[in-house]
Amino acid sequence: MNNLLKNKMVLSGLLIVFFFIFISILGPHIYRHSPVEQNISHRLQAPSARYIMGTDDLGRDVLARVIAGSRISLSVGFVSVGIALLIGVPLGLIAGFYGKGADRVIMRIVDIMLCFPTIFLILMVIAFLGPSIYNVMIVIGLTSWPGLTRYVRAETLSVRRREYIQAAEIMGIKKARILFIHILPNTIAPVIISAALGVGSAILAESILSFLGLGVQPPHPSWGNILTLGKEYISHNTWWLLVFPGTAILMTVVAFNLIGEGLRDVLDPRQRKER
Amino acid sequence: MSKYCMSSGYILEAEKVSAEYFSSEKDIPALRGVDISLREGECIGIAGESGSGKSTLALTLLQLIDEDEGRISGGNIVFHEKASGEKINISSINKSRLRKVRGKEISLITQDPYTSFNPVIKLYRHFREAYRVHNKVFKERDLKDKVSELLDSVNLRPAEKILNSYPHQFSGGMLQRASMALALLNGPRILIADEPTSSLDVTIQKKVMETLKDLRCRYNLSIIFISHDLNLISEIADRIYILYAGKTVESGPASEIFKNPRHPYTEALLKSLPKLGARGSIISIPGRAPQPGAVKEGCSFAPRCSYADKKCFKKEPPPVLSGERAWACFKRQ
Repeated sequence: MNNLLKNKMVLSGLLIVFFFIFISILGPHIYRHSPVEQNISHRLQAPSARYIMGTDDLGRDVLARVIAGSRISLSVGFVSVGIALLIGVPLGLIAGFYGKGADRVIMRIVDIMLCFPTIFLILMVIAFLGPSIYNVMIVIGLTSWPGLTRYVRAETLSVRRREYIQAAEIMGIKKARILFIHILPNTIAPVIISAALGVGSAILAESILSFLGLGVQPPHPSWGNILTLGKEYISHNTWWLLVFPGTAILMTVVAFNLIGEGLRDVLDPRQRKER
Repeated sequence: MSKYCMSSGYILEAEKVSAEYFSSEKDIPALRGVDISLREGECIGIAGESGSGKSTLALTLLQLIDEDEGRISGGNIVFHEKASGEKINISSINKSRLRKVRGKEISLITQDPYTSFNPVIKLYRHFREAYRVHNKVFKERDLKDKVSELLDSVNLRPAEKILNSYPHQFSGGMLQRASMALALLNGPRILIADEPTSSLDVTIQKKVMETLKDLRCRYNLSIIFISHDLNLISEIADRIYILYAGKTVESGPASEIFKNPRHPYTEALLKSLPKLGARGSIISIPGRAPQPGAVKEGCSFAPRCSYADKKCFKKEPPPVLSGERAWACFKRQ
């Protein structure tokens, strides 16, 4: 734990993430402006003392919308990675530990999933299920587990031949139990790393979907659909509609990537660089 | 040579055990029909060079050869259960019966204590997991008492601190003693020790051997002690089996084998033991032990044997029996 906090990447990533979590929980209580209230007479105003991040085409407060959007982005990030973990980790363990038929079937499914472009898969599913924030979470979760399965399987394969697995068998412990107590804890490191990286890419995927109008539906705010407006009014030089949500997306994604990379340095000594 | 708590009843009998490992070309035989028997309270030593099948024998006795890597191709392993006097044929029982034998009746400690513990979980968890296999319902208190007693008997104290530590916080010797305590947790009657000291320093070896002897007497264990080191074996074993290329070449009471080896291989092994104070170089056996799978017709030791003649290269010598001893050589009838 101390090593983790000493790592500058992890520390700065965590600070940014905590900042956004803080904003998403307490922001609406501190900055008491409605993200959906319209005020046509104040439309498309540049940032000022009254509207710190300006207003959009319907005169809504962009700062309030960015704050409200942070809640959506973070929850999509965490929930969809949660779903991916629930699917990916058990499948990876089963494939790596039992091998043979189970391994072949699971890895072929993974290969098939990986050879489709993820965004295309997501678009297809959304087209069937209809756009909503819950569908977005589920779909991102359902499409981002294959990489995780590969990591877990690889780790399981390497742990499986260790002597303490045999030692456990000598004691008469059941295979399923061995998988649970001896192998699962050993695969945690790569899982945590790819989960942190996964949150970043899930947030990005949500923004893209909302930008395309397939995610969070107006009038509910999301970083992605604020950007959509910015694109429409780009000829009016409304830079604040692009810069603020864009920066928010950039910062969260970078933060999660910093955490992921930093964790890799700390948890995975094989890839640790000499400094 | 120790005669602690001998009684004559057999506890384990293995007959014509063979095992082979898969390879891309053909299966490689690692054991080619080995017989062993173990009496209650007795300690037998299994000696041989690397590749002679010692460790395979240990794994075979517990049916632990990985299905992907090899198979046990023949033989019977019979275990005599104490309570019922029933004979259990380990080579033919199903998996759930087998799990009741592993750890509970026959336990095994391995060469390298560092790798036989999971680095990410504490020692207590290792004990707890092993205990709950054979005790579905138990009180945490009882387990703690039992583990403390066992740790005490292998000279690891204080139990509380030991159990709350991770494996990497121990030295090799301590960890090997902890693994003995773990092996004895479910009260097995047979302990297989597969080169328990070979990864340890010589001074630590001594301690581990003392612990093993002590445990043997305290828990009335029957021990199968596997080693390449005849000196170590002579310290603890009552009887010795000498393995060469997957076969027993000589067996018998330890004292007699040391005094009067019959098989040329045993003789050469004993000659090659370094003696304290002796001058000159260590005598070695010419040639190399055959690779498993490369064994040709005739006696497998013949290419390295100074007594060998034509017959030795043509036919495999049958075992010669004499009282408790047996050896397989044409030249020593």
